[in-house]
Amino acid sequence: MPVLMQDRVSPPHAKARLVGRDVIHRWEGNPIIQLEDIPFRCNTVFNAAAIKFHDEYLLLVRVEDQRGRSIFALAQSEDGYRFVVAPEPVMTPAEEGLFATYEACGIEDPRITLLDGTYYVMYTAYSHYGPRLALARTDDFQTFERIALISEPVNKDGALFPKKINGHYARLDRPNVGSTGNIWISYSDDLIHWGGSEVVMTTRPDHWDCSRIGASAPPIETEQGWLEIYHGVKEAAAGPLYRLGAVMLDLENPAHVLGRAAIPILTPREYCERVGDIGNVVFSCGAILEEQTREVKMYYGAADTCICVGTAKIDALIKRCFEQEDSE
Amino acid sequence: MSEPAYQSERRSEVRQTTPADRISWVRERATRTCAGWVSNVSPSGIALIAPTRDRPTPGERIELTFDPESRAPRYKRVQVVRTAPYDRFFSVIGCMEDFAEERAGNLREAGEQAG
Repeated sequence: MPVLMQDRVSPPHAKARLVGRDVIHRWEGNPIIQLEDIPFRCNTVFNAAAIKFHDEYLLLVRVEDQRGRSIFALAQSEDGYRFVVAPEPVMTPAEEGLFATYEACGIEDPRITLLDGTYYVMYTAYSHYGPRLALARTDDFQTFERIALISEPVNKDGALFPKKINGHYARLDRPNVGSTGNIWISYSDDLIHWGGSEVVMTTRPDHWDCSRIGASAPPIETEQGWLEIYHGVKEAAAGPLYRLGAVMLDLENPAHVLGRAAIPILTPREYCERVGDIGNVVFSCGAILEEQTREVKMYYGAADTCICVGTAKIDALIKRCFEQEDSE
Repeated sequence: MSEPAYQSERRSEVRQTTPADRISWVRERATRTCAGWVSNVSPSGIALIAPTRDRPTPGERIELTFDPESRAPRYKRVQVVRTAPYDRFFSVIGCMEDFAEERAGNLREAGEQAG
């Protein structure tokens, strides 16, 4: 008996979706941006900054070109789930001046912060001297004005606070020591010169974040403190395993940790998170708090090959910060 | 001009909303793969959500790939019957199963099994 073509195509809803084990609930339509969505030639797409701009959701997407350098492209959406990527990159490595020297190998992992009415993009400038932090600002997300290179190498994962702390600009960052790194905080009066650095939190032996940690999304202000979604790495036999966690920092003194979740809020589990250019990676550079629904939309790069979105109630994330074990 | 009978019959079919599964699709004889999401299914068709700038026009035949990232993706050929705006960036693409292709495929398979 011949096999009908329709029999070979099970209905799309047949794929079972069970309740996940993570606080973050993945959107069923993940990945939201993959190579097919990029209208220009490139190698891969991942790690996106996120912001609500007027009535749109914007992602500043890290795209690796075919040469191997990273650049930024803009993706727009009305609902925060379905994004259209602009036909050309909006920010590429500088070609002249000081920035050209330190962006020779690309620009990476942007984080957008709205501070005093200005949109700032903190990103990693990458060169053969190593990664260092850079800062730019924009009004329209079409053109970007570079402000300064704001750290020495090796430093990355810079995230600017959306408010001044005790009159000073503040940022989280991750200076590396060998193959390990912890989350630090630094302060500035002009966004160019930074100091007052101190360590905020360190890796934890025997935990999922035992090898190195770094800020992911820019801190989100809550009544309980600054909610920071961070990434943690565990060097496993098969390579590094990147997961996402949550920590609550003191509003007045963000160097003081109020609570840190014992377990991750997101772990690579789905196929697109497991398999890609760098497998077993979930890595966020941006999250948007929906004020009305109290829901956080967290955007994350998966396996350095695509971008996904997941959601969680902010109260669940806050609660998780103060739990020392998995209570569910 | 009245629409063909099969079209009005299709309009009255129950459309079942589905999870927004990722899908990729390609135009006939084209090489560029486009992306989208499943919107709903009916007994004789399927609706996708795809970027407006990529949308196919009614009458075009496209091939859909379900579970494009899996080791065993599944394919289906359809004919675009209508498109409508979804939002500022996306359109809903209404597709009808390509029965002519399906019949041809079945005949081929029947021949292969017999041979």
